[in-house]
Amino acid sequence: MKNLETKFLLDFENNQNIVHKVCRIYTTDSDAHKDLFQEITIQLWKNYSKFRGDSKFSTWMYRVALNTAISLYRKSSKRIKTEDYSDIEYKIQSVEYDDNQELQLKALYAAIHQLNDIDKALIFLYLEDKPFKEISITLGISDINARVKMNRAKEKLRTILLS
Amino acid sequence: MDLLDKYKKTWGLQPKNIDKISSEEIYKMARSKSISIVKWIFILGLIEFSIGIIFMLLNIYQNQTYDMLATDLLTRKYLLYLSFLTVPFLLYFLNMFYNNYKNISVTDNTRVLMEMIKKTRRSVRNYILFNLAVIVLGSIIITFISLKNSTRDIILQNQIIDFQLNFDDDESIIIIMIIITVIILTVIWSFYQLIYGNLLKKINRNYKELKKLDNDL
Repeated sequence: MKNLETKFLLDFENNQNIVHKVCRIYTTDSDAHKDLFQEITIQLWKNYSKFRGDSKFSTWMYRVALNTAISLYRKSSKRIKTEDYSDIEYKIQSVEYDDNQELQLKALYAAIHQLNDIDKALIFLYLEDKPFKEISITLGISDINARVKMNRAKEKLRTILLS
Repeated sequence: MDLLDKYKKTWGLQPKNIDKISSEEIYKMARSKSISIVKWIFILGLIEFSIGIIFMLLNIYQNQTYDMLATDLLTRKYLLYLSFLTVPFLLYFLNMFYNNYKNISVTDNTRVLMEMIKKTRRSVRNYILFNLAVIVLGSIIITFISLKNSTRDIILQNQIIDFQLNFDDDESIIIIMIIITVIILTVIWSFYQLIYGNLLKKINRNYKELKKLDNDL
């Protein structure tokens, strides 16, 4: 058991930025980000013993993290929004493409926030440079469907970024 | 270079160590309590099954304790039979609910995961529908017996004791029973839809979105 824990923490340590990116895409304030991060961590650990290693840990992590964000996570309704880090993002959303990396990133996140949950997943996997095969397996849709949906999601994102 | 390709490049340049959480913190997090929708569905399901069992036990208990009129006894006897009849159904639903719950796996693909969550909820919904059917059947039995015995005492004593209604004919009894049944059913059903509608809003929306293309192509 101890070994499994150590291995899990090591695997997690090396890939935790994946979880952060998923949280940043699916939440708009830091409390919700923390909640979702915690829920994904719980789900990853709960299912880690079932992870056979026949796929890469990161591939498996993408699936669990996205599934938790799309299906399992429920934002606490009691929570009062604090430290809303998306405020700035929304304001600069119409900033035209420029070379300032940070601004670009903020504009990108702000644009992604306007997509629906499924499109968010598609765009995220596209940005992470995942092959269509992996995208369709992760979401449970056919390869053709994944391609069509991806094109539509990208089109939506492009429109938002240009507006 | 396409606009999105440029953004993609920027995306790839994101610093990796931002917001990094320590292993100790992760260790603690991994052991904390889940707040997932699935867990709520499980808890709510158990509550619903418990309520069903409590009602049945109350019914049996009442049967043993009260002195009743002959016709009242007859009604209670039938209602008791009805309660016993529901036991195998209750076990069946409970078993199905638990198995569906067990089969929900976050490591499945997104579509299968959402389908399993919906299936688990459906098993509880069917249980509730079954219970509502039993309520309807129960009120039919009460109405039928009271009509047959031409004794309106049952209704007067048990259901609407404060209403000093004058039952002129059998139709009034039927109408009143229908109204009472409809009110009970509406209240239970609305309450139920409110809870699950709220809980599953996100999943229903996402599932529809994911399945949308299947219908298009």
